[in-house]
Amino acid sequence: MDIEKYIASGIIESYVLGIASSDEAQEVEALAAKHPEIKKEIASVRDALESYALAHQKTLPAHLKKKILNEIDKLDSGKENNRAKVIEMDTRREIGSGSSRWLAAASIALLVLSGTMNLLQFNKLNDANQKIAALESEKSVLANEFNTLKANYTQQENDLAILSNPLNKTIIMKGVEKQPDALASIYWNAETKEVFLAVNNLPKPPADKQYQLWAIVNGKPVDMGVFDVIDSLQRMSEVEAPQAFAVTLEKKGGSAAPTLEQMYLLGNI
Amino acid sequence: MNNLPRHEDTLVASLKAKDKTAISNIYDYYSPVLFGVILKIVKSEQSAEDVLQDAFVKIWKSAEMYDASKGRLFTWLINIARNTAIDHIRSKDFKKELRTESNLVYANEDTESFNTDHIGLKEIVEKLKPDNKEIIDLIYFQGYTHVEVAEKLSLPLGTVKSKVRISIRELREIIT
Repeated sequence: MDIEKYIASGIIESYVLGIASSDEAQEVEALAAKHPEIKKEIASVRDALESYALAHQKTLPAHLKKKILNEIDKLDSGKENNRAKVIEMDTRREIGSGSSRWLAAASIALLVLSGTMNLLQFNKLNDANQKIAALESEKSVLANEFNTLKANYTQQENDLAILSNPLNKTIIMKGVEKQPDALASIYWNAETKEVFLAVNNLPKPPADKQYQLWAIVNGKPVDMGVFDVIDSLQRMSEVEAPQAFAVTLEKKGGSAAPTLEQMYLLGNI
Repeated sequence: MNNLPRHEDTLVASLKAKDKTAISNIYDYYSPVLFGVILKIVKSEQSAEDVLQDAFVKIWKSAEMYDASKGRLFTWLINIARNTAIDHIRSKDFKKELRTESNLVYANEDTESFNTDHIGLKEIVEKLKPDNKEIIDLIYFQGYTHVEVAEKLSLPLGTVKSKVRISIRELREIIT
C-alpha cells in the first residue's frame, strides 16, 4: 500500500481528532503498528494539537483543587467504610459473654453479609457505569458513521439533480488512440453555462500529473480546470457556446495550453 | 511543554493503583490546560469549574480504562476534558445558541484567555491563519464532525477534509 498517499488522505488527522469511524480508527492503529512513518505522523499531529491546547491554558481559582479532591474523596469513602465496619466488629468479639455472645455472633454475621452485599452492589454499579461508558462511545461512533452516510447521500442527491436536469445537455467524450476505452461525460447547461464532469473510465494519473478539461470555443481551446479521478460529479469552469470538449494529461495544477500528444478524450457537441 | 511531567509512566501506575497523590499531581500539572480547553468550549468560568470537576471524577473512575499503547496520558486527559465539556453544552442545548453566535465574540474571548507565561504559545494561535484556526476550533474544541463543518462553512466535504489537514500542517510548522 502507498503509505504516503494514506498519510496525505487526512485520515491521521481525523484519527487524532477523534472523528474517524471505528473501522478507520482500527485501520490506523493496525497500520501504525506496521509502519513507523504512520506512527511518526500520528505523534506529530498529536504534538501539534497538544501544543494548541497548551496555548489556551488558563490559571484556575485556587480553591478549586481542594473542592475537586474532596469530591473524589467522597466517591471513595463509601467503599472504605465497608471495610472499616468489618474490622471494627472483629475487635468487639472479645467483649461479649453468654447470650450476648450469640447476639454478637449473629450481628457480625449480618454485618459481614451486609458488607458483602454492599461490595456486590458496588461492583454491579461499577459494571453498569462501564457499560454506560461503552454504550456512549458506541453511540458517538454510530453518529459519525451516520454523518458520513448522510454526506454521501447528499452528494448523490446533488449528482442526481444534475443528471436529471432536462436543461443539461449530455456530451459523451470518448477515448482517442492513446486510451481507446477511456470514457467521460459532460453535463452542460446552455442557460447557466455550468459544466459538470463525470469520469466514467480513466486510468489514475501519475502523482505529478493531472487531467485537464478543455472546451473548444471558436476553434480555440479554453481551459476548463483540472480534475481528479473520483466517483462523484465535479463542477468545472463555466463556458458559453462550446463546440467540443477534450481532456489532456498535464502537469499537476494544469497547463496554459493543451499538450495535444497527451490527449485522452474528445467529444463533439 | 516545560511544566509537564517527564515520567508519565509512574504517574499512570499510581493513578491506576488509585493513589490519591496521583490525582493531586495530575491536577497540578494538567489542570490549567484542561481548564483552558473546557473554558474554550463552555465559555463561562462557573460552568468550566463544574465541568473540570466532572472531568476529574471521570479521570479517577475510568483510570483503569486508560491504555498507554493507544496514546499519551496528556492526550487522554484532554479528550476526557473535551468530551465532558462537549457533553455539557449539548445536554443543555447550548449548542444551537453557540452556533448562531457571531464569531467575533468568540475571537475576542481568545485574546483574553492566553497565559502569557508560556512564551511562544501565544504566537502559535496568532500565527495561524484565521480560516484554519476556525476549522481546528470547530472540530477540536466544539466537537464538530467534518460534515457539520462543511454545512456550517458551506464548503464541499472534500475541501473540509483537506483544509483540516492543511490547518494541522500549518500548526505543525509553527511549533517546530
